[in-house]
Amino acid sequence: MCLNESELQEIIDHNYRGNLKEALDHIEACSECKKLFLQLKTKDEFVSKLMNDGMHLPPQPVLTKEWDLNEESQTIWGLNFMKTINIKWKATAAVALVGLMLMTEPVQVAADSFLKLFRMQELETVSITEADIHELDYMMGHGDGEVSIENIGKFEFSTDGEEFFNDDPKDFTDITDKFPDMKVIKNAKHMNLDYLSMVPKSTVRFTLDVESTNEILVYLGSDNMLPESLHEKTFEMTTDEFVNYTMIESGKKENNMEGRLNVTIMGEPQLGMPKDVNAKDVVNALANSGLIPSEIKRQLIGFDRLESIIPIPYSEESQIRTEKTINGYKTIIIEDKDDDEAYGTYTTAYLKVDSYFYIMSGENLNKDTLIELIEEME
Amino acid sequence: MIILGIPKIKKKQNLKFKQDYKTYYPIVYKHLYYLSGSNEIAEDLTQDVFIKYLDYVDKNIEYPGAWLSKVATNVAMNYFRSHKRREIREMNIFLDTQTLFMVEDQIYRLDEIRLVRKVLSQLNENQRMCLLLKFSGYSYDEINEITQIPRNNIGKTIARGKEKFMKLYREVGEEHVS
Repeated sequence: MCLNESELQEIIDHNYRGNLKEALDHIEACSECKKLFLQLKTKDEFVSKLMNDGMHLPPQPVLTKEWDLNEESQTIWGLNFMKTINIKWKATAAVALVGLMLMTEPVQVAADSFLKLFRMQELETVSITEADIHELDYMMGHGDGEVSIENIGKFEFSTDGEEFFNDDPKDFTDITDKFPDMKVIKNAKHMNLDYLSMVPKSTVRFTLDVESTNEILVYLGSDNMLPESLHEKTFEMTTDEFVNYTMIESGKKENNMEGRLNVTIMGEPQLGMPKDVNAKDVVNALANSGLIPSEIKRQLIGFDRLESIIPIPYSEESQIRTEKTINGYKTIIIEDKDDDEAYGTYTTAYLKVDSYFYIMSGENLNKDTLIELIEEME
Repeated sequence: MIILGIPKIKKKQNLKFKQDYKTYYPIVYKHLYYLSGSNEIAEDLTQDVFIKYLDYVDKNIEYPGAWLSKVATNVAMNYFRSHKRREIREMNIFLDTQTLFMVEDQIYRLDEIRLVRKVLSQLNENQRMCLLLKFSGYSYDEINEITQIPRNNIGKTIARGKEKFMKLYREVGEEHVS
């Protein structure tokens, strides 16, 4: 029986799970399969040669005394997420800071476990600066040893199904058939649909270990503890199935780069908290605990209904935040301050239309072009 | 004093770390080379990745290859976020101080590397990730663990990705020359 392209590629990559001898015998005997196999192999070699061009794999450094694990080492937890400003919303909300996680994770839990369910319906920006990152560094630098998320609480992540994707879509039918209320950009001039995917419903569950967390706070020199009532309480975030698609501009710009638009569309996430937990109390406890940089604390406490807000982190130092009304919808636009033509420009717009949030990221598309595309959504 | 869950003194170097280091060093190096286009950066960042792995090696990570790949990607992202402007300045200085024939060779090499990376950036995310990980040396099981692409789809994604890569390379290469 003839082998398909995927199977032949698996054989080339030494990852074929079928009977390899039978497959190879068939390839040898079948002119069609042999031709396709050789084509794939040639392409493999060509791409490998190009990708490895210039690469010089050095001799592996010998493991010396410095690699002995006798040394005290320090890991700054969460810092990678703090420094990586341009991260997806769900990763930010889930992990960036315990405070943000607890306060902004939309959660859906079984109705008999939770009294309060919140729909996160509003977008607000939270400015994160290098100073905030240094402050977090400093706080963590007071202690020795390792502080890991495992010592604060437990995160669990689950999805309901597998991601669907189409890497050669002709139109938006895959989306509009399933989500007729979602708006898409059907008639964008000079932009062609390149890729789309649907991510299944997913849940992030976080259970706080107050005892361990308070021990860390003591270790770090804090006088303020988290309330015992939060111990082993579970907070969850659930997002319904959401959609991603990418459009590419036809034709290149002067810097020889294409314009790309990446769009994520998601429903209102749900937040639920234990019935005996008061949202404001949690914010105050975390704000005073020393776990959150002071400037971020100030912004969180300033929100009236924190449990209904989705935070959008941005860097005041390298990005500009503006707000506009487009087709009657409040839109927050974050763009890089320095346009770097060698590496491309990045602008992202966040807006809510009816019950869906839209996150639209433009690469090598200026703000005006991005706004025009948003105006064309239908 | 040992705080619950926060060991002050790390455990000694163990056999698992040595084995993983030996197995994955070239794979992580290649991965970082593909992301950065520079041997020097790849070498430095590979060290950083394994330094981080030191902190986790006794936590029995089920798929160390997948873990190392994710850390490598994060490390590369962080590096470029903080270094991209300095790198451009340093590259200009480098070009100014070299002799002419070395500059020409370096320009050609840099151009080729840039071209490949530009083409990679124009693939869709699944194709780009599959190609990067496959040519780094990760198995299909590891690629599935890292990207969550169903294992049965990985072969097809790689085949299509290569096809598109070659098409784009020809197109971009022609414009590059003209």
